Amino acid sequence: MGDKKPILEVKHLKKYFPVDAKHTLKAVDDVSFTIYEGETLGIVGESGCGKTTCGRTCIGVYEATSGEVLYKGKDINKMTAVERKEFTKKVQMIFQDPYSSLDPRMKVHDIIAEGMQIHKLVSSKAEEIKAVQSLLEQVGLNPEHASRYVHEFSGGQRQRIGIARALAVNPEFLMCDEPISALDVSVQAQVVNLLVKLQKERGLTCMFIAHDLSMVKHISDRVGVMYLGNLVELADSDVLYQHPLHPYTKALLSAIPVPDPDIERQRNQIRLEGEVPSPMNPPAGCHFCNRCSYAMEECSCQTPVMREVEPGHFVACHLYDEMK
Amino acid sequence: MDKRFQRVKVQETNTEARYERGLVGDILHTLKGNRLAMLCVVILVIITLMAILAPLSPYDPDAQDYMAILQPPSSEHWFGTDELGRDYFTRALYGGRISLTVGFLSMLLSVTIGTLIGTFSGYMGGKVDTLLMRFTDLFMSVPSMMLMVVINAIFPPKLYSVIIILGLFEWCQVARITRAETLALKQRDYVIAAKHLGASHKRIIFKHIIPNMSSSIIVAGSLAVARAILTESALSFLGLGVQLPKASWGTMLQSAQMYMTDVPTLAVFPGVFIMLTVFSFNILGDALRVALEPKMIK
Repeated sequence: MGDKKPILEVKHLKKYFPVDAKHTLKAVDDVSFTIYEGETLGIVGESGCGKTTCGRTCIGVYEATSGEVLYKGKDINKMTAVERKEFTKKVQMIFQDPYSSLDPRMKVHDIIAEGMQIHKLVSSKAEEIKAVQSLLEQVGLNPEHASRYVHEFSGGQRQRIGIARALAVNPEFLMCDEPISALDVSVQAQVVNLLVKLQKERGLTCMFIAHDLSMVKHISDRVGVMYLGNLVELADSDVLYQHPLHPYTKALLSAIPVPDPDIERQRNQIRLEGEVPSPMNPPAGCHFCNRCSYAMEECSCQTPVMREVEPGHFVACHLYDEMK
Repeated sequence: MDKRFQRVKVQETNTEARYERGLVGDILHTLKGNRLAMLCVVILVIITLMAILAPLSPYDPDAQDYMAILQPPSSEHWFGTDELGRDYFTRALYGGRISLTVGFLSMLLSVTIGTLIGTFSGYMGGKVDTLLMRFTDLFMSVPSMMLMVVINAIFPPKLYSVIIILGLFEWCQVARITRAETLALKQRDYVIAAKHLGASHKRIIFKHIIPNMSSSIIVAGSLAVARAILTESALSFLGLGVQLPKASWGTMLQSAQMYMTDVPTLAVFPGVFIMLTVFSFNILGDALRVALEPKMIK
């Protein structure tokens, strides 16, 4: 990508949830990255590492504890009501669970049309019906489905309805929060291909959160790896997959199974010791230090910061300190 | 096909059907499966029809006949006559009109107030929630009967004032239920989605939250009717409810107490009506609660 224009800039974003008087859950702890117009940024990490919270905080669903998120240069947490409404039109999200994300008491038409009604994008009922039907066709559903309730649909179809709802307001930016992890494998591919197709057609920028590494590689231009509330590595997806730097990324990538039993048996898989520590009480210094085989003395006392070790390849690890 | 496979298939169709039923379908299904609840519905329908069709009775509920006072039940006067010779059956029917009207209207009032306060409180959260809920607790801890007696003593009791007073003292239960439901519903993804589509708070509350707790509201409503009818009877018995010569089941009980030993039927008939109605509403409410709540969790 030649002319990179940032669309979403995340700077030192933190999101803490108070658990009780003494404990806070640091779901997202000092994360910075930038998403450029037209690209797809994949975020991967294991369950509970703060991917969803990070995504939701980035688009203002949760209020950030500290740090800023700039959408086209404007801080989303300091927007006026009018700007805020405009922002909700420009930025939409797709949910992980296709069952709880659609109102069971509403018909498909009303679900999809809600955004258009709120932002007054249609002037008449006839226009609204036409718009909804065209959206249903675009996401591969039958326009006649508009008069049904959502419980009549399968998971994949529901996810398509969710996509149609997000697209109804003509957004520029789509935050896809594990949109396929609740779906059947055969349906996953369909939904991902639909997303890729729609992204191309509409020139959308995407933030794609997932834990399926091969799927993320398939659709992302750049990939960020999260561990315990921190972003540990961020690079172009080809670079990251072929030439990972952070020990955690290496372990994560080596966990991808190879569909050939001979190679699979022979290859050297990096196995991580221990469990992910609780995000309420992460280890001091580098959060990964107690499971890292390369851990040095300074790892347990000093938190590594993100450095650009190669052009476009960021990593937060003390192993690469001297290279800078 | 193997029998066992068939059984699995039948079970699957049942689950499917469960998904495809709406609220009304769910209620009808419950009634079909629960004989007691069905009986209660039949009783309520009969009592309501009788109350609505009361003018068909050949007697005027207020017409006095001094030649025939305190008569026992006969083919002419089914429930006998009262101390002024009025046909007791006709009076019981008209009394049912008043009691049911009071019950339903005050239920509507209390459910409306309760739902609005409960939903608002749960939705806003924080200080507003704490404040409103403490206010509700305060309202619940007031001995309401005493207060109603005082209010009725200040304002001359009329039909509508009784309805309003009952409504004003019954909303707390509904508010607590709807608040709890709202707390759960506002975390749902579809509410977050609506919020992120730029929906106003009003739109989210009325289009997403309240429709999704309609079954809880129906259950709370049916229990509220029962409570309202009971309280109205109690107030009327104390002479503070509906005023004579208008009859309600409570006022009929009150007039009957003087003749309790001579003509016990005077107390028995309105008593049975109150009991049947309240009993039916309570059983129905419980049956609906069991039937509708699993769907809410799902």
